[in-house]
Amino acid sequence: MAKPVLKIEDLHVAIDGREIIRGLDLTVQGGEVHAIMGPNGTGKSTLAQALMGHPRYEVTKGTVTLDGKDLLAMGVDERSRAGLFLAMQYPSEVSGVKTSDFLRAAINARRGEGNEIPIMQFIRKLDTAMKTLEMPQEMLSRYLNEGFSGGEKKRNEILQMKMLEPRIAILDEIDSGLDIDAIRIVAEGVGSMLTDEFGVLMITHYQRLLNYIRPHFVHVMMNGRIVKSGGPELAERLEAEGYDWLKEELGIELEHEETDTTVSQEA
Amino acid sequence: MTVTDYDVRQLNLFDALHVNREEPAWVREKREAAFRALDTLPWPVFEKMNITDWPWFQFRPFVSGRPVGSRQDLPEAVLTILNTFVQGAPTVVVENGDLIWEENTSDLNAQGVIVSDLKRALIDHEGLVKRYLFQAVSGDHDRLIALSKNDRLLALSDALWNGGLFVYVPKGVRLAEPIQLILAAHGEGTGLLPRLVVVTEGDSDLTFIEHRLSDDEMTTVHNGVSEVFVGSGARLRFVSVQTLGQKTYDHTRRYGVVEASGRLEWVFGEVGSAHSAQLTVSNLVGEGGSADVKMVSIGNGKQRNHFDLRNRHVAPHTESDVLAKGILLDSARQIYHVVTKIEKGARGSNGEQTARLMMLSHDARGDANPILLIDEHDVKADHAASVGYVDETQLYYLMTRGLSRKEAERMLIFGFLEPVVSQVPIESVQAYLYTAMERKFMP
Ligand SMILES: Nc1ncnc2c1ncn2[C@@H]1O[C@H](COP(=O)(O)OP(=O)(O)OP(=O)(O)O)[C@@H](O)[C@H]1O
Ligand SMILES: [Mg+2]
Repeated sequence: MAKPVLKIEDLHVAIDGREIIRGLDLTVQGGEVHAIMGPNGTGKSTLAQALMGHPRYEVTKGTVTLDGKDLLAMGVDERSRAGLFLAMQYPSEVSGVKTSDFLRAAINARRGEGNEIPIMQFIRKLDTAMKTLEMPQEMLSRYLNEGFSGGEKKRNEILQMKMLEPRIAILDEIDSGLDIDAIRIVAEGVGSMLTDEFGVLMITHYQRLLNYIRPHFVHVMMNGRIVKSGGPELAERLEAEGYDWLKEELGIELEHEETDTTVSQEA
Repeated sequence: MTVTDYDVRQLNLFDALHVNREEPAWVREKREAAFRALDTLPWPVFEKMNITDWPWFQFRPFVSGRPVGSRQDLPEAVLTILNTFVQGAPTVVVENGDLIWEENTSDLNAQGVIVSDLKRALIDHEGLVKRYLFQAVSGDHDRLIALSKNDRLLALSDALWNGGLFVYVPKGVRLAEPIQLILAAHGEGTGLLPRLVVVTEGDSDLTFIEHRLSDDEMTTVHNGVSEVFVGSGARLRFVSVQTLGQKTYDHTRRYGVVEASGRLEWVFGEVGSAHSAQLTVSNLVGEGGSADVKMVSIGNGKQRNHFDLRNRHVAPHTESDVLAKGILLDSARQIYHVVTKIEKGARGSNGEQTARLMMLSHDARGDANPILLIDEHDVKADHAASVGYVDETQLYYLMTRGLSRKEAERMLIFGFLEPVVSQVPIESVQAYLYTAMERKFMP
């Protein structure tokens, strides 16, 4: 299979008529790890949700293609089946739906009728993924994310990613809420999937994650645009110095200044 | 005369009864008195739905069933259900007014258990049946005063009931296998008016499963009354599944009387397509008795359902619990009216109830009315009710993993119902409920 390519051009996204993403260009290819950093409220999650097709996020301008196909013309589920995955910043809790039943249904949805995954193969695959992520078996019989701790939910997102084998994955603050060991475990879980057929877009506030998954590109988002791109050293500098130097250098005032616009130290 | 303009009130009851049956005088008198009162009695009150213009009297009364010689001769729809039942357990099939098939019932006799066509039981066990038939509804002992007074739909059953079953489990007999009943309507315009009497004497144990069905294509009126008696220390699980067809008008009444330390567990799966007006009353008349209701329902098309669930605490230290969940598709209308009544003197009692409705269409309309009527200080009572649309955020989450909207909705619906269905005592019945609901959701 060819390398996946996610291509975003001049993307504008609005929520309730308010423009949040204002002209964003980015290309993510198989084998690449991109990190997006940026102050709170600058539109990182909005970008992720708009790419996935969340109905509240309205794309007002621009194009997005996945492997040359018009992503924006696809429904949410089609985007997923086309190979896009979003690990959410705030995963939903779904009562009554067992994690294992859900995973199997999700896998079968992409394989199609008549080509369902054999149950033993599913169990083996799940078992391996759970071991890699050091997740206890009993989590599978619990309802999807219900009563999961913050960190358990994040692991569950990565578990789903490993099971679904997407071509491009967007990980929205997958490191928040994880303890130090868990960050490493989850990062290794992602890293072990890296091939030419898998590209990653990671949204994060912290350098720590990037120690485990070394990004090829680091982008800084402010006011709905990518204002600076660089290599891993950019993330290191942000971790050490915060965003002020960058704002000054670029002459940017944050429009929706929130309480925490610097990179904080606690995870 | 076409069936639909036939009105049973024009019937010559004397002739009809003369032809059809040999019944004890007290049963016949009850019929005649009820028949005379049909037009003067009030309608039963189903608070949020006007059911008075439903064609309750437009049916052919006293229609017979068609006897079969072997299991394979049973109608296909019946056979399908029979195959989901527990195999090898005592099972009877009633079509219209007659018991047309039974299997594995003879083993019960040795233990003194009776499973009999009600008409037959009135002849073979008249004294015993007389102690129970009509008594849970309108027995004059003051413990048994139901939460509803007599009305014309009840009288309609009293007057024209046809067929049904008498189940009797003697003291101390604990049956490992369920007793199972299929009740099927057959024929255009047929009235299905069964009476069911289930008696579990002191310290006995029974699981009773019934399935009522009618054809989607046939106009049918179902007016069924069940009377259930749970003796001291006895336990009865009463599982009722209905797949009545879309041209059926359903009036269902169930009355339970629970003696000291008895336990009555109702499980209802309303997964058919009929318009329904149903009332289930549990009277907790003995100290320490309890009643539990688990119910799921799914309405689609223009289906209208009014479910009335009532628990009445008469004796001290009695407990009741209701967990009901409903799904509404299309422009279905569904009402849950759940009443917990704690009478003066029922101290130390506890009544809980939860009713939740999930709507998948903006044309659907659901109501959940929790009502607590408490006349005693030293009690606990609690209720929870909700009516809402399927959660869009959850749907989105599932769809981001590749499930189509329909599949995602299906997962959420089943997830919503799971806590109720998982408590149905027989696994094959659980599976059946899911299949029946799935058929309505994904036709
Ligand atoms: N569903 C929504 N309804 C209304 N406003 C929203 C919604 N989602 C995002 N916003 C607004 O859009 C802006 C961008 O939010 P977004 O969640 O994309 O920020 P972010 O960069 O991911 O921030 P953080 O680092 O805190 O996660 C914020 O002002 C936010 O309040
Ligand atoms: Mg965010």
